[in-house]
Amino acid sequence: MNTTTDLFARLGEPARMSQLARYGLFHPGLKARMEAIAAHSAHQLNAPISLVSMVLDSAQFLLGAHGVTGWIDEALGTPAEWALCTHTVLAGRPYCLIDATTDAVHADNPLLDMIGVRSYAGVPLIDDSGHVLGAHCIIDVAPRTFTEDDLTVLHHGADQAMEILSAYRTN
Amino acid sequence: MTDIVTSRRPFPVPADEDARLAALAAYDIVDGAPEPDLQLIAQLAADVCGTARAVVNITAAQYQHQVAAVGMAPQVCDRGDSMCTISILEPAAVVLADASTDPRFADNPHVDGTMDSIRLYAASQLRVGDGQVIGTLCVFDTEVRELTAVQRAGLDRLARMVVDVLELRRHSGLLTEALRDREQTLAELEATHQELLRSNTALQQFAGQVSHDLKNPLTGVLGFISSLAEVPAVADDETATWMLQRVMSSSTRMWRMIEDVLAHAAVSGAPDFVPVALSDITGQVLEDLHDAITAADARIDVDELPAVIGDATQLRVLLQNLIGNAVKYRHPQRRSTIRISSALTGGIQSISVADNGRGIPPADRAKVTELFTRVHTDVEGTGIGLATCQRIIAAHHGTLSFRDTPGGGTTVTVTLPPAPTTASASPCGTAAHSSISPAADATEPAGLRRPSMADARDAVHRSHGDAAAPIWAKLLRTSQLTGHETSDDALPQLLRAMTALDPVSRLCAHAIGIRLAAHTNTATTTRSAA
Repeated sequence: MNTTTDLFARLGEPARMSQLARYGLFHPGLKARMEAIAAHSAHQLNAPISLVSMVLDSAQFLLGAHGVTGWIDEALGTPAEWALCTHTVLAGRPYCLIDATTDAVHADNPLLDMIGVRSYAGVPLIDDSGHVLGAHCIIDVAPRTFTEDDLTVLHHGADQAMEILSAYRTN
Repeated sequence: MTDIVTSRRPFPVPADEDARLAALAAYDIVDGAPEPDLQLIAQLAADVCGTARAVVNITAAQYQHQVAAVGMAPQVCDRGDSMCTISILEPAAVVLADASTDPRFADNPHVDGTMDSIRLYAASQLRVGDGQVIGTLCVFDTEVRELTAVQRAGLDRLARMVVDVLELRRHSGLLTEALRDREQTLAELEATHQELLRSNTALQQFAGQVSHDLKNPLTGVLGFISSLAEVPAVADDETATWMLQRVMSSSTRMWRMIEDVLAHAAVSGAPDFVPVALSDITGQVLEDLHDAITAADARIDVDELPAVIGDATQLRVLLQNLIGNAVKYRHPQRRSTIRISSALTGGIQSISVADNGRGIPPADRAKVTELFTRVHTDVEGTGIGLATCQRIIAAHHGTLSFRDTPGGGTTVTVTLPPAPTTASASPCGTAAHSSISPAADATEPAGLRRPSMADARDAVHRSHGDAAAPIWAKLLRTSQLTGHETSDDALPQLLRAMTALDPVSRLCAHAIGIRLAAHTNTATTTRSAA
């Protein structure tokens, strides 16, 4: 469990957590607006799944999702060590997975089998404090090579998400 | 700023224009903050219909406002110049391959080349809840072209989405307002609470100080009275002896009263919740009351008593008062028998002290717990004891009730809330999952342990930095888990406390709630697949 301890320590860094805590992430008006962004990116990029999420210290919290079903949709999140967006947040820049079945980094991730993930592209959600709070991504069930144009769509969605979120900042 | 082009051409208005404008005002969209979602929908409308331009028009009293626009800058124009001012009167979407051939629009400045040369024009009405039309979702082009049935249906659906977004925005505005009011009320309550706490503490200190100041001279008085009784001149004088006895008993009563006031003031402190064995406490109380019990020749039966979560000192004061009262207010004609018993009903622990004494008339039961209330004035007392009991019970979130003992006498019953380990709800809406606790040997999904109290502690420590230790201590205190922090059954209760404590703890609690849901759901999947 050393790996998750290290991971949670990196994600749970006090300054980043305080920054996350400044936003009204549980505001009831937020979900529909984030879902609209996810739906838009999913349609634009022809992907079955798209997420706008915050990565907390030990779990990914979906602010808005498109194409997600089952318990992940009910819980609105997944453990941080399973979430692909964790990689995007830790990298602080776009992160892509072309084919999960051939990528050794993700060989042990049970979530990929559970929801049939084959490819992923995510861009970080960064606010004006410089902290990486979360990610906006699309997920596909087929292997996929992503282009700069794909990332531009995601960046556009990420900008809109952060603009909406800025209205929910408390201080 | 957008220029307003005013031509003041006449324009048709709906019959119920006033009602329409009132409906529009509720959305606060014209002068309110811009709505990014509307821009998304306008973009979709342009994509779906394949037009260069798409706008969301809001038709106000004199002007038409474009609150979202694709392929052009949003504009405000006079209603007389607007095409959609005419379209909002229509029962269904207006779709024209060539607007210049339609008599309603042929001489409109947006069509005839004055301002624009629109040909393809399609406007779907924004119809809000009560049927009023507040504007349109409109796509247009300068080329003549038909829209397909799919495109028309898509435009109508997107128009309904615009209304949904506006509805949502209106509701979230109302909610924000309500929350702001609530926060203000809470802040005022908190200020009042702090002020009460402060004045309570001051009063308590005052009562304590005064009582001590009274006790010291009184100790001297009682000492001198004892000595005086032995002085031959007094001891030999019958009247002097009788008077001195009166002084003695009055002073003793005063002493007892001061003791009670001191005890009452001491109870005001916050209870320190720990597991308390009631049988031990009862034993100590009976020892303290030994002289009074012997003098009254009372028979005391004590059933087996449970352990409860509570403040040991306060619970002892409580039992001392209840048993003491039962002995004190015994019936003059029958031997005092007192039974102390307990019951567990629906998770609520109750303790009863039943006596066969004088009883409390039903009419007096409501007031016996008020300070300085005395029902039986012929028996020595201060009227403080039951008031103190009431405060202790309130601090333990319990209840205190009186009823007749069958055959005569009073039964006092105290209820205490269940011990905290039976708490079950979690703050994350995953209560149903978290209360199912798969045994340690259940099939665990790869790499995910069931979240434990240790995980919560780690989360608080890593995410709060230097402030973590006092925050964790406070969490254990507020969730009444001090001494139980290793019991993983108590995790939901701790998560509740985390949700209420500070925003960072709330995020950590939320993350653990997600992990609980993931654990429960994936463990079940793995099991049923196996």
